[in-house]
Amino acid sequence: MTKLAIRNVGKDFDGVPAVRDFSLDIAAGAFVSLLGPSGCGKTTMLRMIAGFVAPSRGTIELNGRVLSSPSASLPPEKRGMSMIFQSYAIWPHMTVAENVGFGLKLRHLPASEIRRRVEEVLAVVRLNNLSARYPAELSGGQQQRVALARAVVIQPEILLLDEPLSNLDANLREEMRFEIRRLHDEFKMTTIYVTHDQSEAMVTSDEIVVMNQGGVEQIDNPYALYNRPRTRFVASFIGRTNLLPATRTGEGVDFHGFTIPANRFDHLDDLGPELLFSLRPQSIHIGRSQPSSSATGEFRSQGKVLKRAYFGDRWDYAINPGGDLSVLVSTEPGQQCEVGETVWMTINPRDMVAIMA
Amino acid sequence: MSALRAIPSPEAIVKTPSQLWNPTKLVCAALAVALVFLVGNPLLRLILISFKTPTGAFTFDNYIEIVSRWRYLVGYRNSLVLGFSVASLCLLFGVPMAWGVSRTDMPGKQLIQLLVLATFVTPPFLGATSWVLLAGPNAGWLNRAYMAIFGTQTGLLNIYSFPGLVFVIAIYSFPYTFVFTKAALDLVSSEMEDAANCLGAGRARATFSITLPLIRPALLGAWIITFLEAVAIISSSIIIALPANINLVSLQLWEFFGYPLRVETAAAYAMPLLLVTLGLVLLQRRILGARGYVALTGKGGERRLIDLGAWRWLLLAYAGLVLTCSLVLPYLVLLQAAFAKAWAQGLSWHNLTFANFYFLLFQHSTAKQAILNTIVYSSAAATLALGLAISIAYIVSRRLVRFGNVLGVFAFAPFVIPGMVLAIGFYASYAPPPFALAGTAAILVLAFVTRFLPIAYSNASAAIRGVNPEMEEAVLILGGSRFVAIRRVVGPLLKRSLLGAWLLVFIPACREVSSALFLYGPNTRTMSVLFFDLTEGGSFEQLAALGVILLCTTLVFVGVGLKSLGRDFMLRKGGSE
Repeated sequence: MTKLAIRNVGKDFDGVPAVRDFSLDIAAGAFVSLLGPSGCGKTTMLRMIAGFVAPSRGTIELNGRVLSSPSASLPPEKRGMSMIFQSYAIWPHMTVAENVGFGLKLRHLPASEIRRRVEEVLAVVRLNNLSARYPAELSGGQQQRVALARAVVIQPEILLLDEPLSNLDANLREEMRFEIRRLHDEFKMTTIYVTHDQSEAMVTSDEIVVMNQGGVEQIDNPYALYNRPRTRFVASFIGRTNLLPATRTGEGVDFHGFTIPANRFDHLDDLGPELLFSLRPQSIHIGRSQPSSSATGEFRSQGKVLKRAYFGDRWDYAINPGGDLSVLVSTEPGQQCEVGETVWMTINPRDMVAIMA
Repeated sequence: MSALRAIPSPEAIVKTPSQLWNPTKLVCAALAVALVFLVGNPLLRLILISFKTPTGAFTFDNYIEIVSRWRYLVGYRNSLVLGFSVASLCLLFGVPMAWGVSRTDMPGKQLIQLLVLATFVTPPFLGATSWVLLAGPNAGWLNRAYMAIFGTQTGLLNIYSFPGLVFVIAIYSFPYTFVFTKAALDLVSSEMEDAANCLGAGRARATFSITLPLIRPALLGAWIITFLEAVAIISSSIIIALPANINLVSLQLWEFFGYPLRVETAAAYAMPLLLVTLGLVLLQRRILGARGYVALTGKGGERRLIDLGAWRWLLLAYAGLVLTCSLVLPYLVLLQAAFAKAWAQGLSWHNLTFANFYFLLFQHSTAKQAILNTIVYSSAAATLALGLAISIAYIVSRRLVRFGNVLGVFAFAPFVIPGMVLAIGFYASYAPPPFALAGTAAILVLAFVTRFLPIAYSNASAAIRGVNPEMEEAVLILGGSRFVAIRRVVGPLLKRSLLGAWLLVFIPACREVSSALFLYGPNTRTMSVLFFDLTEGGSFEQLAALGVILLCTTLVFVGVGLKSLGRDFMLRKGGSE
C-alpha cells in the first residue's frame, strides 16, 4: 500500500532548480533514504514533504490526499508528521519529559495519558531515568535519543530525519544507526532519512534514493545499488570503484590496456560501441605467479605495480596492465608486492558492471 | 489514536480569501504603519519644511539663509574640527587600554572593564559639569591646586576653550573605541603574531605591523562612531561651548529652536549634518562588512597573553590616568558639591549639608515630577521600542513575508539621524494639528522610541539569530502553530537577552538630552531637561545633587543588568551601537 506518493516534484530557488522531477512511491512502514552529496537537493525534498517548502512543480500525496502542490501547500503543523533535525532542536528550557510530551500536549491528551506515553517511549530509547533533566545536562547521544523520542511518541504519519547523526562522533554514530533502525522496526513507522553518508543509508534503509544535482540517479535496495550501479555517479558515490572506458571491437572489448573476449559478458549487444564499466577494487585478485587453472570465464592479464599504499587492514595497489591504464586493486593485508614488480591480475567479467550513462 | 493521525480534508488546503490577510500579514501591516509614523513621516517632514516658508509656501530661502551668515558656517567648521579631534583623541584613550585588556598580562583588567562601563553610563553632561568644577578658570580644583603648588596667580587649565571641549567630549566617548577595539582584538589569534615572530619580527614590530593593521576596520568604525557622537552632542556643547562662545551645529540648531522659533531654517541647517552622518554610517558599515580580514573570522588559533614585564605597570598607570579623568576626579567633585553648602569651600563638616537634595525632592516645583517622568517615559519607550524591534527582527530573520527586510531597514534608519535632527522632524510632524502633540508625554516617548529603535533592533536581531530556526520548525512539525512556537519556545529562549536589550534602551533614554530638550513641555520635563533648566539660575550644588539622583536611578537598573546578565552586558559590541 502506498503511503506517500511524490509525483514529478520540482523546486526552483530564484529560477535555479534545486530539485528536478522527483517521483517516488513509499510503502507504509518502509524505511527510505535520500542519499547524495551536499547541495544535491535531498534536504529541500525532505522539507517539501514536511511542508516547510512548497514545490514549484508536481504534487505530494499522503494516503491518496494531496498535501502539496504549486497552488496550495498544507502547513507543516497540519500534516501529522514529525521530524528530527540536524541540530536536534531540543528546547533547552524544557526538561526531557516536557520536550517529549510537547506534541502530545498539543493534541490535548489528558495529563495522565501524556505521562504514561512519555515514560513508555523514554524506556524504549533508554532514557527513563533522565526524564527530569534539562537538555544541557545530557550528552550528544542522549540529546539525540530525546529528539527521537519526541518524534516517535506522537506516532507520526511519517517520520522524517534530516542528517540526524552528522553532529555525533564516529562511535556514537555507528551505535545510533542501529538504534534508529530498531525504533523503526519497533513502531513500524514509515520513515524518510536524509544523509550524505552512504554507510548510514546502507545500514538503515530498505530502499535508497541516490540524488545528484537535484535529480534522482537511482532507486534501489542497498545490495543492488552497490552491485548493480546504473550511473557513473552512483558507481563512484557508493563505495570505491574503477571506472573503465572500453570500446567494442568485433569479438573483443578493448579496455585500452587489455582486451576481454566479448562472449564473457552478458547482454553486451544491447549497448553501443563505446562502453563504460565499473569494477570494484576488491573484485580483482592479484598474484606473483600465473594462477594454475581457469575458473569459469575468468580473465587474466599481467600488469606492473605503479604505486602501493598500506592501510593496516588492506593493501591498495595501482596496476598498469598496458597502455596508460591504471587499475586500483584492493587486497588482503598479507598480499605484499613491490613497486615495479610484474603481477598477474584475475578479473571475473561478471563483476564488471556496464554503466548506462 | 486515529484522531492523532487525522489528516484534514482537501478543502482545508485550498486557499480561502481569508488567507490573504492572515495574522502574519496583519502584524506586518501594523508594523509598517508604526514605522512610517515613527521614522518615515518625521524624516519626510524634515525635508519638506526645509523648502517651506512659515506660511507653507515653497522656497529656497532657508538654504540661502544658512549659507549667508558667517556665524552659521563657522558652526559647521567648528563641529567638523571638533568631531575630528574627539575621534582621534578617543583612539589615544581607548586603543592602548583595549589592547592591554585583550592581549596582555596587564593587571586589574576586571576593574578597568568595570570602570569603562561606568564611564559609558555616566551622562556626558554630568561629566562636563564636573569638569567645570575641576578645570574652570581660577576657581576649578585643579587650577587651585596648581596655583597653590607653584604659587602662581592664574591657573593652568581653562575648560571653557576648544581644547577643553574636545577633552570633555572625548573622555566620555572613548568607551565606544574601547569596545570596538577590544572586540576586534579578541578575535586576533596569537598565531598571527607568532608567525611574524618566527620570521624575525620583535614583539613591538609584530603588534604594529600585524595586529593593529588587522583591526584597522574596527578602528575606523570606532573613529566614525565617535566623530558622529561629537558632532551631534548638545549637552556638553551647552555647558562648555556656549559660555566659551564657540558656535557649533548643535548650538545653532538650538538657537533656531529658541525664540523666535525658526523650525524651517533649523530643518535646512540640519540637512548637511544629516547627509554627513548618513555618508559616514554607510562608510562604516562597508568597512566593517568588508571580509578581507582573515583575523576577524573568529575561532581557530590559540590566544596567549603577551608578557609585558615591567611595562605592564606603565600601561596600567595610563589606563588609571584616563579613568581618573573620566570617573574618579569628576565623581569626587560631584559628590562634594552635591553635599556642600558652597562647593568652592571644600570638604569640611560645616560645609556639609543635605539641603540640595532636600530642595530638589521637597521644595522644587518640578523636580519630583521630572524624576517620575524620566522613569515612566524611559520604561515606556524601552518597552515599545523593544516590542517593535523584536517583531520586526523576527519577521526579517524568518522571512515570514516577502520584502520583510524593508522593515528592518526602516528600524535601523534612525541610527543615521542625530537626536536634535530627529526632534526637529518630530516637532514638524506632530506639533501642529491634527496631532497637536507639542509638549505632551506622547511626543517625547515616541521620539525616544524612534531614537533608540536601532539599539533595540540590533540587539533583538542578534538575539533571534542566536535561536536556531529548527527550534520552531520542531514545534510546527509536531502540530503547533507559529504562535505556539513564539509563545512556548522563542519567547522563553529570548527572555534573558531581551531583558538586556530593554536595559540598553532604558539607560540611554534616562539621560537623553538632545531630543528631549527640543520637545519637552511645561509638565513633561525629564531629569536631563531639568538639569539644563538648573544650569540657568540654579547653583552648581543643586546641579550636582540632581546628577547624583539621576546616577542613582540609573545605577539601580545597571545593577539589575549586571546581576542577571553578567559583567559585560553593556560592553558587548551589539550593545554599543
